Amino acid sequence: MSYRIKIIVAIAFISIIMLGLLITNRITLERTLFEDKMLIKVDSLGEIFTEEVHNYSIKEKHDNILRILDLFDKQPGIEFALIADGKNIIKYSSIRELINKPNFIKDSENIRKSKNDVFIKSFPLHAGDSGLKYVQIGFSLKEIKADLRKSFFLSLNISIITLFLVLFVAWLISGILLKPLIEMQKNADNIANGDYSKRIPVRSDDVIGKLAFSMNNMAAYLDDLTKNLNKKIQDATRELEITNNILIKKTELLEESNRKLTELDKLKSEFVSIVSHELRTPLTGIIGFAQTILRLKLPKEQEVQYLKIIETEGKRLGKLIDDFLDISKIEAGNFGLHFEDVNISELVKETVDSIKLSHEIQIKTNLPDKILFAEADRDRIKQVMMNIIGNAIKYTSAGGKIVVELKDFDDSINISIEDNGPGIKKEEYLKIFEKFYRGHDNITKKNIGSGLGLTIAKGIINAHKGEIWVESESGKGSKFSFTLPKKQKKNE
Amino acid sequence: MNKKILIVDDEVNVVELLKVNLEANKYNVITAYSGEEGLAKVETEHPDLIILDCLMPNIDGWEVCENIKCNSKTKNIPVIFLTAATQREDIERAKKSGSDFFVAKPFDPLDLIRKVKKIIK
Repeated sequence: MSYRIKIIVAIAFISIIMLGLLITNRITLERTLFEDKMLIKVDSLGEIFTEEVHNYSIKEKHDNILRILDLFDKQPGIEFALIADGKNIIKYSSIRELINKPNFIKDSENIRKSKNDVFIKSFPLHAGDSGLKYVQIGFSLKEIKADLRKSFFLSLNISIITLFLVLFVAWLISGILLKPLIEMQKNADNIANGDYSKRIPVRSDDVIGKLAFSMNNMAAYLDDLTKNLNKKIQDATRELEITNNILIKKTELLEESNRKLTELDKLKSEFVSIVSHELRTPLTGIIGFAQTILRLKLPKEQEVQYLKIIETEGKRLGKLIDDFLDISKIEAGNFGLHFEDVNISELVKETVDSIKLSHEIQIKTNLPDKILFAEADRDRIKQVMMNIIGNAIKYTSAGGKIVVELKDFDDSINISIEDNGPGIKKEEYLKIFEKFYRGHDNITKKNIGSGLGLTIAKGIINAHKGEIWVESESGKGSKFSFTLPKKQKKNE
Repeated sequence: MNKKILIVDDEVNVVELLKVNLEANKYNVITAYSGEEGLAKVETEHPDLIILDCLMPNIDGWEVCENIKCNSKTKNIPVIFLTAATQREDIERAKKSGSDFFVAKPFDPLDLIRKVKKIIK
């Protein structure tokens, strides 16, 4: 049952009690009023009647008494009238049958307690010798009772109408009074569901208004708190994400560096393995031939031949050690270059001149008129050129042609060494600069160095902030080029 | 008759070293400077022993050895591996390819002769 119905039922209940009381009160009052009126009427009529009877009885006009009695009886509200003597025998009566009979009619005690519709009262007579003792009159109460009933029903009707009016008004008022409560209840539901945005209109300054106000405050506070919390959660989540990303990146970096370290470690052990292998080969010749010379009695010529091998292999060993040192310098990123102003044109000429050639191979230089300078480590650049030219000679068979060319560019010098040897396959362009990489050519090791020459050359050129590359057409020869940045003009 | 020994190595100096020492010990020496040449000479010369270098361009020593051991005509010829690599993997590989003998570079020619004598009496 809704609260509104409860209120209305309560009001209806109270109204019924109150209306009931009102009706009762009114009826009681009216009754008293009617009865009092009635009593006065009874008394006054009784007195008049008594007086009249007294007068006629003195004059002994008994016929007149009877006539008055009948007249009296005809008065509205009078049921009957009789006169009795001292022996309680009825002498005169409007009801003729009762004459000369003993009077059994008794007076009503109290008008309120009278259950009959007739109120009976006796009035004493002082009629002298006639012997008449008292007059007894019966008053009709029908009229009063009808009036009272009428009044009761009227009150009841009015009460019922009033009750309905009250209920209707109660319905309206309860609706108005309950409206803010219903709004509050709805809003409380909203709040419970997490919607803090709704506000209730505050219409009054009373407890309901204050409650609405408090509720609005609460909703606003919750709204703020939630937004704040959400913002904090979002912030924290974002921070966590950032931290997480950083962690992921760091982990990736760690993994990457770990991988690199593992790779480096592998490369290092490979390097050590290869180095030991490379060193053992010349050592085999040196030790083996030395022991051979010592143990076997050989002709002088053969001895000299083997001693020369020991010398060559010793030199090869020295060269290998130099190369390994260079490689370790490259890998440590610490070349210790001595930069100076180098006349590259002159250096190219000098390098080419220093190479002793067999008759089968021709070498040609192609230099610009302008003398070119670069800031470089003279010995290292010579080493690079020697290396590339050396390779060209190694791979160029009889009738080979080598062209060393120097070119002037805006901010760099380009040095290229071109041969007409077997050339290099495209997939090997980068590989040849790797450590220990040797071309898969069908030539003997006699002609091959450590497999480090180009790696070292690349390291040297890179340390000069230059570039080194190869272009080749398989079968037609290859062209190695490298650049050197021009000398920086410090005075400008 | 003198025993025939085939030397396969792309290092000219090593071949010369082995040759002079083996010849001093009355062995008949044949030389090859690549894997291909070595395999061809195994077929034609039927040596009693092969001394084989591991690292050679194109066909390396292990491949040469495998080929020899696969061929029923040549599989019984003992092979001594000459290796600069003393790494365990290389030795394992030599064993796998069918040879139980290997000499690490640098070597004492005297030790090698002793080993050769032991293998081919």
